[in-house]
Amino acid sequence: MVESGHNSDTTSGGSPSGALRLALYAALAVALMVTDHHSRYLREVRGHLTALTYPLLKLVQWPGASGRWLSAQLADRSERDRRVRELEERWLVSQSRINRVAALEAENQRLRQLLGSSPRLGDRVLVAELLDVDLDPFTHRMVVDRGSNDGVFAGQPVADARGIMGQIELTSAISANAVLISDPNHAIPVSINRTGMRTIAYGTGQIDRLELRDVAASADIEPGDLVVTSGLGNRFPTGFPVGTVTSIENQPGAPFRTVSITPLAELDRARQVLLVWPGTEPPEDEEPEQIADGALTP
Amino acid sequence: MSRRRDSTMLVVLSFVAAMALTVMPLPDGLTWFRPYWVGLTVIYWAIENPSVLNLGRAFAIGLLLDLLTGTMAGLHALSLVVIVYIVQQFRLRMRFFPLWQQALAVGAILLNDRVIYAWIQSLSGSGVSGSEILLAPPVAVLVWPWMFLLLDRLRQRYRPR
Repeated sequence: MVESGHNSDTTSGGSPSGALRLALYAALAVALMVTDHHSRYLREVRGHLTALTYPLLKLVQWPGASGRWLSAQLADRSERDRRVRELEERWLVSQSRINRVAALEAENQRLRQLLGSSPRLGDRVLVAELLDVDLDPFTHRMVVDRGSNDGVFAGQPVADARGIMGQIELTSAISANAVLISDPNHAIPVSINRTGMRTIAYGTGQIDRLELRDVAASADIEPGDLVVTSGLGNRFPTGFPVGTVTSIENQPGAPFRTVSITPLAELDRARQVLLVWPGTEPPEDEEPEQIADGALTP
Repeated sequence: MSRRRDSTMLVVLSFVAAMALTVMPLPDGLTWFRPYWVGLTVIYWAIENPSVLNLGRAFAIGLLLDLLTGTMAGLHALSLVVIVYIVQQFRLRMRFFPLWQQALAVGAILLNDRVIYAWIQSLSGSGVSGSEILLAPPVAVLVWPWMFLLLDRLRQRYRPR
């Protein structure tokens, strides 16, 4: 009642021009959303502009980071010594395991040579720090402190020590946004390690659950089965752990069943992540290839 | 003149603080309770000083928020433009509401906003079961009076004369 009488200033509403401008801005916003959802170009622009907000994300780190610094300063010396010893032991164990894997890898390369299939390339990795920020709760995203300056690219796989975490969605020069495998819009090609069956794991929006929706009712799958990346689609490297099967829902009469997977990577707790360049490192054992080349050239 | 600059600074700082609070990490269970800080700040300025916040500026702030939180470009822009438009419609009435009534009106505006927001999110494929989106507006109702008094006090101090 009151405002209809006082329309002298243009900013107070009620005037048709106000509604018109609302419609204009709303249309612009919807156009932006649709473009962003469907085209890669706007996403690239958005990635570059993300650098503008990076200082604020860094600023928000400050309370948590200073708290950790303080507790590290106050930590007991003996506690620190114990931790160092523990890490050294763990390093020793994993180092011996790596040595064995290296021998196996070399053997595998030789066998692939004999079979005439292309040698599998190793993966280059880069360690990146996760920023401790909460983005939109509707989606599962995270921010890493490496960007296109370090060679990070959209679609790059992100993993932690236990398994695949997700992939890079946007990159700016100094930072990058990643989608987690648990995001409801994310899907990752996987295979069951025990049987080699290939399928796709979909995010559910719950941080601790993925789903296989295309498993035939007759398929051989059991709780506890390890699910690894299949490497199909050429986005994720082959053989990275994704999760373990926790439950299988059987509906009588349905052609497919829903299989729940618990991700192995610590999606909500990891502080450091690995950015992976799949298949960029030459195989460690080059010798057999050279011999094969020599045999082929007359 | 410097006071005018101070009051502009206050507007900018209030939005920077709101954006920092938006991405400030909270324990896992609490993320859905986080009030829409930038929405609250936008409502405050739209009520108290409409000359600093027209639809165009709300749109720009929304785009910045989209960049910050990694959402689709335009999502928060739409949300804030709609909020400012509604406040502009009821501004003269809301200004003279007692504080608690104002807080309820703010809660209603933010609830409406969350419903639209969740609807757009679900159109783009993010499945959120639903009831979580109702948790933030009641917290915003509780926060509003304190935020209003704080910003009013600061604004009085830096009021241009």
